[in-house]
Amino acid sequence: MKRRALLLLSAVLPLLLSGCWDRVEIQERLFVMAIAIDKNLPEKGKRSYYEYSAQFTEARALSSRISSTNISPIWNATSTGPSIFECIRLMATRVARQPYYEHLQIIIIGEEMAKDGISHALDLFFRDHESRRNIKLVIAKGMGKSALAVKPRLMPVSGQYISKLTEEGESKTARLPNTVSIGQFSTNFHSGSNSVLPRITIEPHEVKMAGGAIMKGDKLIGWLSDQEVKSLRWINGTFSAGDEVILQNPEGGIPGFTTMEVKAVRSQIHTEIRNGKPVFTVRIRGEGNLAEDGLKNNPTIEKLRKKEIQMNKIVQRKAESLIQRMQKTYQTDIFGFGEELRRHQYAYWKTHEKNWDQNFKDAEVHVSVEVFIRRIGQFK
Amino acid sequence: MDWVSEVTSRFSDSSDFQNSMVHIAGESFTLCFLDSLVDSHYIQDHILEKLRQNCVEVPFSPISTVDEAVSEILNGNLLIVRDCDQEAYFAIGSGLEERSIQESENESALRGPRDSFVESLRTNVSLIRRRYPDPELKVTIQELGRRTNTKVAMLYVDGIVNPNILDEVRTRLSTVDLDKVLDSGTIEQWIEDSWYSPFPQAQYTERPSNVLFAMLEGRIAIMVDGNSSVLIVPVTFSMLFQSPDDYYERWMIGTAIRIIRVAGAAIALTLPSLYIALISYHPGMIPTQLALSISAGRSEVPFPAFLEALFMEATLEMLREAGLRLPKVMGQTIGIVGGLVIGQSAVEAGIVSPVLVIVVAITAISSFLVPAYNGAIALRLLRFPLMILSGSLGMFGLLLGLMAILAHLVSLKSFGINYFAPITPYRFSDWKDLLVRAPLIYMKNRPEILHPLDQKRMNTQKRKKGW
Repeated sequence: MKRRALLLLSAVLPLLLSGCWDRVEIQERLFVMAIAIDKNLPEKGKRSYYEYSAQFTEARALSSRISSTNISPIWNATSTGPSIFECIRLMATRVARQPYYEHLQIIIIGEEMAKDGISHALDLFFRDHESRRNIKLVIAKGMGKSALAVKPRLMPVSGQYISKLTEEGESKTARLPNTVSIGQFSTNFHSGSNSVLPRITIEPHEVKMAGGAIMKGDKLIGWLSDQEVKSLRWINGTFSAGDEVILQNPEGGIPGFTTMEVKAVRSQIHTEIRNGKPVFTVRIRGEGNLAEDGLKNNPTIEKLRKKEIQMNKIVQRKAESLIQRMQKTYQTDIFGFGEELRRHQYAYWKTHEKNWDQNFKDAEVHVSVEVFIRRIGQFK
Repeated sequence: MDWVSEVTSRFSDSSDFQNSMVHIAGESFTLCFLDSLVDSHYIQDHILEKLRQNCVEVPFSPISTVDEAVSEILNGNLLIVRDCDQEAYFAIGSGLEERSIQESENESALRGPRDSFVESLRTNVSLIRRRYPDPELKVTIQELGRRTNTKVAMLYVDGIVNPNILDEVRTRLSTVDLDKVLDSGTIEQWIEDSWYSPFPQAQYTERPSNVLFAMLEGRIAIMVDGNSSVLIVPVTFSMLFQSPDDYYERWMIGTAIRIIRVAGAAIALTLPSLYIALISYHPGMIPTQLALSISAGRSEVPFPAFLEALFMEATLEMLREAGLRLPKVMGQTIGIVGGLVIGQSAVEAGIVSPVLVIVVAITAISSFLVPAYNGAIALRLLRFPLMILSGSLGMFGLLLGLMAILAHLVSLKSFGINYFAPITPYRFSDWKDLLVRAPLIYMKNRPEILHPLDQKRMNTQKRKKGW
């Protein structure tokens, strides 16, 4: 009996010890939907390097439970400080509720900040238990803060709008790079490879998410245009959905464009060392449907083959020019060639790992493309 | 021996005791009986008629002791004493009115037999006997209860039931020494393995077909006179989710319904505590849009999720109990008061959030999915400790509680049979009748966990796969 009473006590007492210390009711939390990190130019003697903006959402106002005009559904609060953590805690001096980061959707980095390197600014979000690995990471042209201030036409929360944009854009076009989460960026950064992050350009009521920011390590060194990102995804084999135009000879004033809807792309990178230099052969295979061709062009097998060959040439030319640009202008391997070397030419990789980007400049890259048009649709 | 005065002295101060003298063809007899138990028309029409026909040889069984005579009278029989030589006989009296066999109210079924047990032990045994006319169906009746001397019958199928289980049940029944045995529940509580457990270790049913089904699996039925619910032992946890309908319908339907029941039990047990844990501790686990709308809905609720949920769940239990006690006509009123008034106005008054009303409603509905009422109520009550745990420790507390329940279930036994079998200890052949109700011809064997003497349930050799 005594033993039983003791057991019971020892089972009940820990409940009192805990005292619900973690308990914060859901309505007392302030959901942070998006944050923007910008570089702050400190005045003399002040030590604040970050301008940290958080977008808080008020659920009551979002669901129009309160109609008071001075409560808006979102609030973009900004604080400046020497570290992100300090900025977050500085927020507590102005926000009367507990900011909650587990629903954070997207981190927007300002251009100037990105040029200085972002690994330090993101460190907290890698470490903290309240943030997720799949938080999206984008680079803004200009200030990241102004992306939060965008007033989208159809959605109340701009952070949610920008984050949805990456998901929707991903499934419809290949104009933005597909590595968009901080987890993916962290993996790339720690394995020493470079990344391309989505680029957003900001307008008052919308943002455009297209193109890429070339990140050498954690530093922004340049931009990729929409078309270049598409080429990058041909090379990576991650072009899973989107459009590609086959240029035909324009006759007269009528544009003779044929557009293909790309459905799937696979690429293989073959490596070898020739005369002490790495040689890469990129073999790209893609397939898709004929999207637009003009009504008068009755397709025949021969015509389709011709179009496929045209397409091969276009993709090959664009891919080669992108690779050359990366070799000549930026000396940055964004294609993952280094990883292929590590896998297949380990001896070479071991000796050239340290200055791989310099060696990449002189590497020989061959691209071969094979595209298949699978469906032509109804044409009569 | 003066029978009449002996017996009359035993029944002193009992106004319903009658001893009346009749003269038939020059002989005089004294009839002793309780007029509360014997129909007077029956005496007139049958017993006196028989005495008239055979004056010399009395056509009734002789009796030798007074105790015997008293017990026969108490059982509703008549004591007949021939005055000339003081020979005593007893005649079987006809019982008075009893409830006729009706459709089962507590366990309704769409298909299959609908009759249900009544209060008379004799009728109840006959309901079984009629379905299973074979001497291997054994019925042993003993009288239990120090004062009430209630007849308790143990029914089993000889040749199927495992003798060890039978001995165990018999031994436990023989230890019953209560002053009154009015209900099978009293017997159940006396003979069960662990009374610290919320889970039922015996099943009760009102339907003869269920009893027969259980006996043919190798279980034992215990009937108590004056009681319409029959106990079935030993039971396992999986039996809480089984209903006779599962076997009458096609196997796919039976399986689907059974899976729904298990899901319902899981919801009834955990949903309120899951709600508390998610709202108070882990809003990150809720999808963003849902989190926002829950947050908006809770914005005016002044209580923590735990108190809010406790309040509504307690109200639900009160409504359920009130609905059970009230006459059926009033039941609808309770439904309206509970559903509309409390549900809607509590939300409008800002005491509870709309999401919680949904949670409570789903919990209530799913808790009624479990066919065994005593199992359902165990699950319903266990959700309150789980709510306290998740209200104080979050998801961690909920899992702690679930682990404790699981540990308890695994260690529990019912008449030597592991309660959580066949999940643990693992008996794969019995999984055919666990979550999935396998097609009839795949359930060739009786449940292995009961160790029946006769394993085979059927012979499928003659049956062709496609006719």
